[in-house]
Amino acid sequence: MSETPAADAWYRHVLADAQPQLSGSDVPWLREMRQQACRDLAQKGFPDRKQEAWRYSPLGGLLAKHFIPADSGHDVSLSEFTDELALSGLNSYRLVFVNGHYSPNLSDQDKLPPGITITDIATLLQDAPDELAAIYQDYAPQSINGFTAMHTALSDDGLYIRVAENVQVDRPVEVVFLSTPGEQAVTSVPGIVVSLGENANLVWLERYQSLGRPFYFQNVVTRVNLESRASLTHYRIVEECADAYHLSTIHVRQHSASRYRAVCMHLKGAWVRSDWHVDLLGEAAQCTLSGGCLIAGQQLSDIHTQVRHMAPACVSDENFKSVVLGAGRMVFDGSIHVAQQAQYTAATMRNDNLLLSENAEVDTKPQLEIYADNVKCSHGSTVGQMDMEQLFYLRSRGIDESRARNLLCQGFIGEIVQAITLPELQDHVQQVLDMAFIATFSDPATADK
Amino acid sequence: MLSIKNLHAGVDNTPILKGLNLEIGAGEVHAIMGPNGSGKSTLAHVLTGRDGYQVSAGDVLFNNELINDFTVEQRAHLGIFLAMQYPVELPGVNNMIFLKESLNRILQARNEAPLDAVGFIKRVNEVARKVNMDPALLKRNVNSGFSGGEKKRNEIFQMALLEPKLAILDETDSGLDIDALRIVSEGVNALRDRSRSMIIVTHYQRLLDYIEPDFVHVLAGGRIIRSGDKTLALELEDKGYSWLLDEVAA
Repeated sequence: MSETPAADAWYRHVLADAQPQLSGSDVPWLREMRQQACRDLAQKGFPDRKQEAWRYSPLGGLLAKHFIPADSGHDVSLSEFTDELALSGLNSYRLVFVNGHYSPNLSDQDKLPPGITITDIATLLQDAPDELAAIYQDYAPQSINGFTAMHTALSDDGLYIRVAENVQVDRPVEVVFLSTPGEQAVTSVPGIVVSLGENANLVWLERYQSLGRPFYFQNVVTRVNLESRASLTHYRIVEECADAYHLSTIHVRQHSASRYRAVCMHLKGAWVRSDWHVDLLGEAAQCTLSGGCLIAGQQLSDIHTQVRHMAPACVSDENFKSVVLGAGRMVFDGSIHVAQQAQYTAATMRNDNLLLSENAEVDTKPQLEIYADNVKCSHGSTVGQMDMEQLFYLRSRGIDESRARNLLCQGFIGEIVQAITLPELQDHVQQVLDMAFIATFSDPATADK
Repeated sequence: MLSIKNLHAGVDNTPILKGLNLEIGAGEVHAIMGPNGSGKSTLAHVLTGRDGYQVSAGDVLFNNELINDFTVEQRAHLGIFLAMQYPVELPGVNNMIFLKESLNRILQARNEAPLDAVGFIKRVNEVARKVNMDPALLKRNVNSGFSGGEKKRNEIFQMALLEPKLAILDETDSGLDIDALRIVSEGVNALRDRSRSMIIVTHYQRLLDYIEPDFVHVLAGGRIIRSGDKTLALELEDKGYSWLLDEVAA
C-alpha cells in the first residue's frame, strides 16, 4: 500500500498523458515495458522512509512538487554554452542534452574514430529499436522503486555509447546534461547505455549543469556493460542548479578482468542522490568507486552503493568523502555482498565525513555481507570536525584562519579530486571547491569557532 | 625585543603561569628549563596566542607593542615562530603549497613582494641546503608519514624559510636520536644572528651542548625562579631541580 497517494495520483495522470507521444510508442516490447512500469508504480508507489534504502533521504519536498515531463526547452546557443559551461581546453567528443533531449547543435561528434558508436536514444528508437530490447530487458531491473519505474515509463531519449572490441578511444567522451529555465517545473528522464566490447577502453565524463535557475527533477538511469578486459573510467560531476533534485541509478555489469573506475563529485543541487548497483560477474573484475560531496545550505547528498561479488578473485574498492557545511546533510549507505562462489575476493569500503557546522548531519552505514570463506574485506567510516591542532599549525605559520580552513578542507577531499586524471576537469572541480570554501570561511557567521 | 611582565595565564581556568617576568634582547638565545608541569609549554603556546590559553593578567610586549590580544596569525606576521614539540600531520595538504602560502603571507605582512613560482622554488632549495633537509620530503604532504626526526627537521626548515624575529623551540630535542639532534642543532645554529632571538624550551641540558644559550632560566610553579648563564644548565644536569626548588621554598 502506497504511503504517497497524492504523488502517485499526479504521476498516474502525467504518465497516461505523456505515454502516447513518446518516441518508440509504436514498438511493442517498449510499449509493454512502459505499461508494466506504470503498473509497478501504481502498485508500489514511491519509496518512503520506512524503507531502509530511503530512511535518511527525505522525499517530502520532492514528491510534493508537480513535475511534468520536460520538452527540449528553449534553444541554447553554442556560444552561450561555450562561454558559460564548457571546460576550457578539454579535448573531448562532446554530446549535449538539453532538458534530457539530445541537442545536435551543441554536440560535436562528427570526427568519431572507427569502432565507437554514439547515438541519442530517440534516434535509435526510430532506426533500430530492437538493439535496445536486450539491453533494457537484461541489464537491469525496470522498477527497483517508484522512481526507476517512473523513468522506465517516461524515458524516450538519452545516450547510447558502444565501443567495439579492442578499440581504445583516443579522447574522452563528454556528455553534458543541461537544464534550462521554463514555465513549469519539469522532470528529465534521460537513459544512458554504455557498452564496451572485449578489451575496449573508454574515458567517459558525465556532467550535469544548468543555465539560469530552473527548477527540475533529473531522474537518470544508467546501464553499463563491460565485456572481458574492457576498461571504463567514468567521471560523474553533478553541478545542478541549487534548487534542483537529482537522482541517478547506475547499473554496472562487469565481466572477467574488466575494470571500472568511477569518480563522482556531488558539487551542487538541493537533493542529489547517486545509487550504484555493481555486479562483478566474471573472475578478476576490478571496480573502484570514489566520490566527494560538497554539501551546503539545506542540501542533501546521498550515495548508495551495492557491490555484488559474484565471481572469484574480484577486487572492489570504495572511498567516499564529504564536507558538510551549514545545515547540509550527507547520507552514505554502502553494501558489499560476497557470494559463496566468490573466493579470493578483496573488498574495501571507506566513508569519511567532515562536519563544519553544528547543524550539519551525516548518516553513514557501511555494510558487509559475506558468504565465501576465503576473502579479504574491510569497511569503515568516520565523522569528524575540523582539527584544531591542524588549524593552529597553519595559522602559526602566518596563514589567515579562513585560508587555513580552506586548505584543510581541500586537503581532506583532495584525495578524491586527485583521482580525476583529466587536468582540465580536475582544475574545474578544484575551483568549484575553492570558491565554496572561500565563501564559507570568509563569512565569520558560518565559520565554526 | 620581547618583554613579558607579570604574566598570569592558564588553561580551562587552571592557572599555570603565575607572575612570569622575562626580558629577551635582540639576538639573544634564552633556554627555559624546568621540571614537568612547570609551565614551559604553556609559555610557548601563550606567546603564539593559541586559542584555549587565557591570559588573566600581565603584558606581553613584542618590540614595544602590546600583543596580548593578537591572533595567532598576527603574531606570525610580526615574526614570532613556534617550532612545535609535536608537529601535526596535514594529510592532503601539499608541503610546497603550504610553504608558499605561508611564506608569501609573511612577506606580505613585512611589506615585501611575494615570490613567484620560480623564485619560490629557488628559495626553498637554498634553504633546504642550508638546514640539510631532504628536498624529497618537501614534495609530500605536510609531515604526513614523516618520522619524528623528519618532522622536527621540517620545523627548522620552516623557521629558516620564514626568517622569524623570535623563534620559540618547544622541546625540539624530544624524541630525537643523537644524530638527528646534531643535525637539528646545526640548522638552528645556522640561523643565529644578531637580530634573531630564540627561546629554547627543553628538559635536558644535552641540547644546550649543541645550541649554546646566552641565558638559562629555570621555570617552576609558573614563575622563573632562577636565571643564569649556561653554567646553570650544567649545575641542573648535575644536581637536578630539587635543590633549587628547596632553596626557593626555604
